[in-house]
Amino acid sequence: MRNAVHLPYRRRKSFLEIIRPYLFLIPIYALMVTFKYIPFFHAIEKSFFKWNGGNVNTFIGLQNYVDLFHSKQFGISLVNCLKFCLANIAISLTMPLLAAELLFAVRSAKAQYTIRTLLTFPMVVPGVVVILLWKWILSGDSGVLNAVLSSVGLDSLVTPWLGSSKTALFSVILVGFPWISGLQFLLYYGALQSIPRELFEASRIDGANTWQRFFRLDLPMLASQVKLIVTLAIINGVQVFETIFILTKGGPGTATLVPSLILYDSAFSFKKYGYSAAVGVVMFVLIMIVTVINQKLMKNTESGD
Amino acid sequence: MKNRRSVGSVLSRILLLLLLLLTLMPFYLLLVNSFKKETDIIHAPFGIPIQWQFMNYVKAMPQILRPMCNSFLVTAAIILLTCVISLLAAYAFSRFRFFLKEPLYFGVIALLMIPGFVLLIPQFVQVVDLGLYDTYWALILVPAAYQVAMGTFLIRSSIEGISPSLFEAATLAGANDLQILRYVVLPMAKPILATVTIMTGLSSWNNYIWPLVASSSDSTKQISVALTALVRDAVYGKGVLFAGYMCASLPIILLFCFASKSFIEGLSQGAVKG
Repeated sequence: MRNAVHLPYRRRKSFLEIIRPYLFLIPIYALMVTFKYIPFFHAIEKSFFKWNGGNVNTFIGLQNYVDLFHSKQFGISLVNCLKFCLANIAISLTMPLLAAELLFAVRSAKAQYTIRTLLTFPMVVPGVVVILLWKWILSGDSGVLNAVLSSVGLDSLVTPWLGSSKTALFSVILVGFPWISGLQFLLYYGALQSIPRELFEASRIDGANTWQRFFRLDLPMLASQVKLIVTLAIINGVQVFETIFILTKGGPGTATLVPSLILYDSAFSFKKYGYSAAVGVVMFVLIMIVTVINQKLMKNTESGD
Repeated sequence: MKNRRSVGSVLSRILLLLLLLLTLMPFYLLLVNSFKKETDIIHAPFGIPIQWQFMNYVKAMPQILRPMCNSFLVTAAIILLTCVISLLAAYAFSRFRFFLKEPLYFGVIALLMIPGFVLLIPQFVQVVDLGLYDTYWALILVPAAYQVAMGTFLIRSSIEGISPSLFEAATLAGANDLQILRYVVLPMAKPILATVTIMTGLSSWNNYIWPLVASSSDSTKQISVALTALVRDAVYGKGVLFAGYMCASLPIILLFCFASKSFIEGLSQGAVKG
């Protein structure tokens, strides 16, 4: 509204002029209604049905949700999901921030630029390639990790990382180690660069050491990035699919089972579309709740945004 | 200032280099092992290849050439569609005042809040109902429906930065909307369109879940899905897989080398989606 540019004022708009803006919106709405809005409401509706995608299609009220919350598998998947979210938050609040601070401390602008570009590089490699590489690194028989461990004399640690239910969840989280290449890093680094130079100058004159500067200046200035990054970590944690689907398929047993996998399997393996839709709705509600709580909580801790 | 090269700053330099090394290590391993024989991959994964095994690439080619062409086509179509549709919508939202303008804008932006995975099954059902299953249409239209929201958001703020007098001058000169779009908006919106292109292109080329669900035949198979189904060669072993991964990553890596600055901008913009 603020910057809207007006046509030269005319006394009476012709019919064409009135409908003109809407004509520009036809393509976007045709696309979005067909492939986002209709599916979205369809998913909510079908979560109240017993539906196999074909002839079986009966209204069963909340039965899918009741089944879901009585299912032991779903309970396990929620616990795993929580672990992923917590790991995601812990990782994205530490490693990328550490890398951003270390890079920011490099004095040569050229070196900063080169290192930032190199650190960004893994982001453009297809995610599937990264996951498949880690599948090889973590594999039991010919895996690189096991080879490294036994070559430095830590044979006792050699294990089928993805194949054992004790280490599977940890291994899946390990993918992408040291976890610094990503949006989080770019966000932190961008925010550090936008802090006014005078503030650093002032903190140096005040005799603040690196730690004091980090906690009293950098961290408060990064508050809105932290808020965004925590939200993203949770959203990504709840939706984690590709990594688990390719690495473990939820196994061994239920060691890495997550809701998105139940959603996928109940639809495509068992043709329980209604049940699958209910899983989707629960995931959606979870993400919404967490996002809102996070926004509210973080707002209170911020000095003003 | 001069003698501030304390132990701390040296240590932090070393730590940074170590992190960089660890980050790039998997990709170094991918590169060197894509040229190795199976026995060398197992016994010396970190070394430079002793004998360069180009057969790996020759063996990988037939498995990934078709999926790569399919992905090129789909990615290009998604980019084009996203840019055109977002540009039209952004033009309407920034140029005109009309009834229900803000609710309609919210209707576009609200999509960014629906997590993608939740729509997977209903979108699949919708595509099957429309008879689009296993067609290019399904692979193009559904991801485009995601991208247009961000596209409209980014392009709208860019168009609103254009001076109103430019539009007035164009209107007085008798230019119609399409001419204004072509000669006034397009040149000014080029940088933001580059950003949208990179964001869209990257996520389309790398998309795995949707092609996994929406396509089944070889004629529509996308590269990410093909990579997970690559088979190791009986004679040449795992090196063939790595050669395949290399080929699939190469197009975007090459683009990144030439335009890393716009890439980093595009990637950062993508973060604001949440």
